[in-house]
Amino acid sequence: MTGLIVKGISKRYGDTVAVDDFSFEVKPGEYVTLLGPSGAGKTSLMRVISGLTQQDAGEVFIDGKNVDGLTPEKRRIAFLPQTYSLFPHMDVWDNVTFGPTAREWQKDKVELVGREMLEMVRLYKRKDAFPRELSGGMSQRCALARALAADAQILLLDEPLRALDARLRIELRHEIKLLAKELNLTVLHVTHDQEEAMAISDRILVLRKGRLVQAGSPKEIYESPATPFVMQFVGEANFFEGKMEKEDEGWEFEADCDLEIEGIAGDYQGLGRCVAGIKAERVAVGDKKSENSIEGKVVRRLFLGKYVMLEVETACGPLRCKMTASESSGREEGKAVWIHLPPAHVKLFKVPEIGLAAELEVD
Amino acid sequence: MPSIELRKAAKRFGPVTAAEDINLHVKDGEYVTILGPSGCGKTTLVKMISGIWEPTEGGIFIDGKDMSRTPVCDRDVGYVFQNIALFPHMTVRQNVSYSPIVRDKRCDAEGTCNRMLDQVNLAKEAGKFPRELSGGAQQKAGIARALASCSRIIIFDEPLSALDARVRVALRYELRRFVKDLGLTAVHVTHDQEEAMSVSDRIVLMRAGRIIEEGAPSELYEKPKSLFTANFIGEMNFIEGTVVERSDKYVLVITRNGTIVSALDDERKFATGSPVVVACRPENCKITVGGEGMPGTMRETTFMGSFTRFRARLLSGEEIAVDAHGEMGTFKKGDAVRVNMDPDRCLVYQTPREGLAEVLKLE
Repeated sequence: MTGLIVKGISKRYGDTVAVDDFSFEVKPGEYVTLLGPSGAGKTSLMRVISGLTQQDAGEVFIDGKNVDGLTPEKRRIAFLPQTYSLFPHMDVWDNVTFGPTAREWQKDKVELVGREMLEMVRLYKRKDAFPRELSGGMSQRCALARALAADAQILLLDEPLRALDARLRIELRHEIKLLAKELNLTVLHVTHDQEEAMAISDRILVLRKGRLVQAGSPKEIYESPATPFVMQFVGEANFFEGKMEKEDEGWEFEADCDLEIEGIAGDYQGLGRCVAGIKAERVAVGDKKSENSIEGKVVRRLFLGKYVMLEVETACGPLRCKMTASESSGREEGKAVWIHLPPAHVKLFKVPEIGLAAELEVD
Repeated sequence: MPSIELRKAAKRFGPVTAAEDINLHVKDGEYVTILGPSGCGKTTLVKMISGIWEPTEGGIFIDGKDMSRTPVCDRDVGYVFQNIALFPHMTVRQNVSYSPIVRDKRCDAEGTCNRMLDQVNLAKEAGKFPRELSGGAQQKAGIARALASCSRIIIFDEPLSALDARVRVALRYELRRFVKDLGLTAVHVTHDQEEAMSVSDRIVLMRAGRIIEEGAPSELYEKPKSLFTANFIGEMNFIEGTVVERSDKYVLVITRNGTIVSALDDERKFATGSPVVVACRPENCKITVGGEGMPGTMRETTFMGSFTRFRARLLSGEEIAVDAHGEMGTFKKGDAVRVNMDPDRCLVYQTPREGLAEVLKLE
């Protein structure tokens, strides 16, 4: 098994900085996701690692060796781009065995690998089909088999599920993960879809504007977001600007709007002006005023299947509250409610230099 | 005020039937989503409504008038495209005021343009060119342009598919609001079941050129009539078995692993001896160590943020997904576990003649 180390990579296109001094490591056998909005630099980074683009600064190490002087095919990386780029005039078999054949492997070995790969992605029966005869999911699996057949040590996946139907994506992301673990692959997977990232990764790297914002397990990213952006991007959240004040009973968050949250654990000496955030599924909706609560009116109720999302208009602006369908019963549009904000789930952040609104932009 | 009706509509391209036997009535002011996998005929359906394609058979009625042979330019239907399709050399304002000007409409171009830019919250970007905007903002401009045509019917053809996952979530809240604020009749095409649930009054689910089922989002999620719907809208576990006993409200089903499970059948659809499929959503299942239930082994635990997904494999081979919102304990891979389904939230279907896998196929 092979690991990947990326040290201080920077890449610009003219005046645009695509990747800015980016460093990380993928351990052998680890499944790591690069998560971020369009334009965060995810694809540029993939191209640098695979050798398709030359970086302006920094180094790439595979299996401990610097590969910056090596061409893409010498890096033993399987790169699966967004568009699968199967050769349209070749059947499934020729597509999958293209790499081994081009490398002039012995015929028996080519046969063996081709069969193994196609059986793995459950396409052996379709080996004579041409790409145009395959469904989206099959094309995707064929491209994956081709990428893996070339004896790669590291698999780079660039939004591998983007072109597929939403429902199919849910099935296939699970399959990809199982396959990667079964084959003990080292995988770097790029996506803009936070749910996909949560579902498949050992570790997630959150990128924004060419920079690494946070790295951690799905649980760490979700439960201890480093910035308001991460909190908002990985799930939906509500934010308030205000300040922390020390009271007799402990620390209290005083929002600029009509809201106070008491009983927040920790020491906030010197924090002063700050931003408080709470995830949409961590607020509780009730009928009565209680500690740490704010009054509002349900303005929208969205059914999401597993969940219902309420949008509640309050003195602090519209708040999002996510709950199960049974918990939401009776919370119709137009109804008055109290939203309770449990202090244990409130995260505090420094006020972002670019301002809260710009910090929270996901686009 | 406009309603849309398709009576026995079909569209054939030579030997290929893209859609057939389509009977659909979209009421005035209703927001209807046409949902289905790639190639199910959903785009064909809206192209017949908009007049891009003439139906091969049957009729299209708008406001009670037969419009089957009326060309697209005379149908008065606003259209939002998947690929956004703004004029690149025009500013946002010029794009949005394009249709009121060319169509010489009853509404004044400038006033309408301003109102629609306000509606989609793009007034500040009116002087910018499309390339200067983010993907989400570009699609908002596309929506404003369609709204500014003053058509009372608007068609959204996969309007969010080209956007990042997180932007899609933000924008789907807006789509419904635009339509309802302006009192329009909307037909929205998508392959994304969560998007369909969150925006629609009613979902029409298609497969292989036909309408399979229609209903309010909560009806299709909670009481799907067909197995395909049950699987396509949200995730579902399926267990095959035979009814061994029934009471007034419940059937007892012996599963392939020999466990007896109880499931609600208050319509008394199934008699003793019937081969059935019992379906249960992951959030309505529980996993325990020991106790009653279907025996299996723990395969995987995935932290998904607002819930934790467990996967267990039953001794009879089925894979079961279980979602826990709160505590359900921690399990290691390989642990012997028991899986229970909530009898009151189970759905029972007749075992399909062509086999379960065939009926559930997503593509």
